[in-house]
Amino acid sequence: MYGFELTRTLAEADGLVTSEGTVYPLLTRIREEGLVETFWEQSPQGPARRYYRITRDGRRALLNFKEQWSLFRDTVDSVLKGDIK
Amino acid sequence: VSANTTNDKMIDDYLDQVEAALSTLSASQRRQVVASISTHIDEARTDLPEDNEAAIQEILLRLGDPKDIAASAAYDLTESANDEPAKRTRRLSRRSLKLVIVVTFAAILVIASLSVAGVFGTTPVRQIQIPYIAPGTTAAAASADLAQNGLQPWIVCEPVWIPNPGAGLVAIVAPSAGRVPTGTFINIGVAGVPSGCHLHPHYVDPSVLRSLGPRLGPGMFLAELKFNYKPEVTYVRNFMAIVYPDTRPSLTIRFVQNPTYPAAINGLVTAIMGNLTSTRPSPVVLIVEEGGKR
Repeated sequence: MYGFELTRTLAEADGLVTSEGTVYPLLTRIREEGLVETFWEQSPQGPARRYYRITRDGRRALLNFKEQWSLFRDTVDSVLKGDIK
Repeated sequence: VSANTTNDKMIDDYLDQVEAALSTLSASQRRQVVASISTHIDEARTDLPEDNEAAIQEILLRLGDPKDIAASAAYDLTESANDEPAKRTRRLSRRSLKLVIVVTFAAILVIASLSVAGVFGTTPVRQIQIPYIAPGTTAAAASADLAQNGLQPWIVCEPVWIPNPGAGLVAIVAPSAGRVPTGTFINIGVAGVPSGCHLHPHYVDPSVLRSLGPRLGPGMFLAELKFNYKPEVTYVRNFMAIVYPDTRPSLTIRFVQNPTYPAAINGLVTAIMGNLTSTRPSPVVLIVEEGGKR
């Protein structure tokens, strides 16, 4: 998925980003961390496009995040339900 | 002042504001962010039905206030810069105030992984078998077989398209098999001396792209243009097959060549071809995904 597609997809999700431009610093960061990689491909309709692709480290980070997120979500749910006092 | 000049100036002004707002970042990071946003604008403009001032303003509006981008960068690129990688994920999940950023972070990874896996636009999936396009096959046989299978082999001797692959043996096919997205170019390098054609491998002549347009038909698009940058292949001959998102298998072979290629490169390709011919891999099968955006 190229940058414009990716940011537009994120922007269409409620509450994730305030504007499309705010995604690029985050993309820069995770690219610097090696979680995604980019490559250029020619577009028949205009200038070359920069595509983003997840790396092996990125998949690992995502898996790690999913585990932690699940734990975090369960904890918050428990607090909100009053299970934890 | 033309409309294009006005639009370009509007974009330049916006990028200048973004750059100024990112003054706390390192020069390298600032350059990367501004370049990414500039690319985003270019990509967005190609999707516009009309490149007018209102449309450009809409693109810039959706990108947002440069101060918001700077605020995002201040967190993403400065606070995280000193973290050890092992600490980052733990810290990310704990910072409730930055929850949105964390979720966005994960969303990017999810989207990136989904697009690689081909989840976007995966139905229906159809297999196209191209049995003759294998190393060692004659280009003529590959062309004939494609035609029999309802596919269209073409050679481009820019800017003219001719329906004949010419002489030579297929030296290399990439991708040779597996799952490819709609619009993929399938490079088919052929060893042999071409005549009367020319092309720089990196070069896409606008007239060729224009000539592609009618062939693609309404609602079709080229999802990717892939070039093989290895000189030992591209400087000899290349076919490129484009898989169209059509209801019927449709495939175009693009031929590029440079008649002034060095003899040493030809020798190298011949050697590659000989090696591939001796192993003679199984027929090429490509799974083409259709029906949605990539």
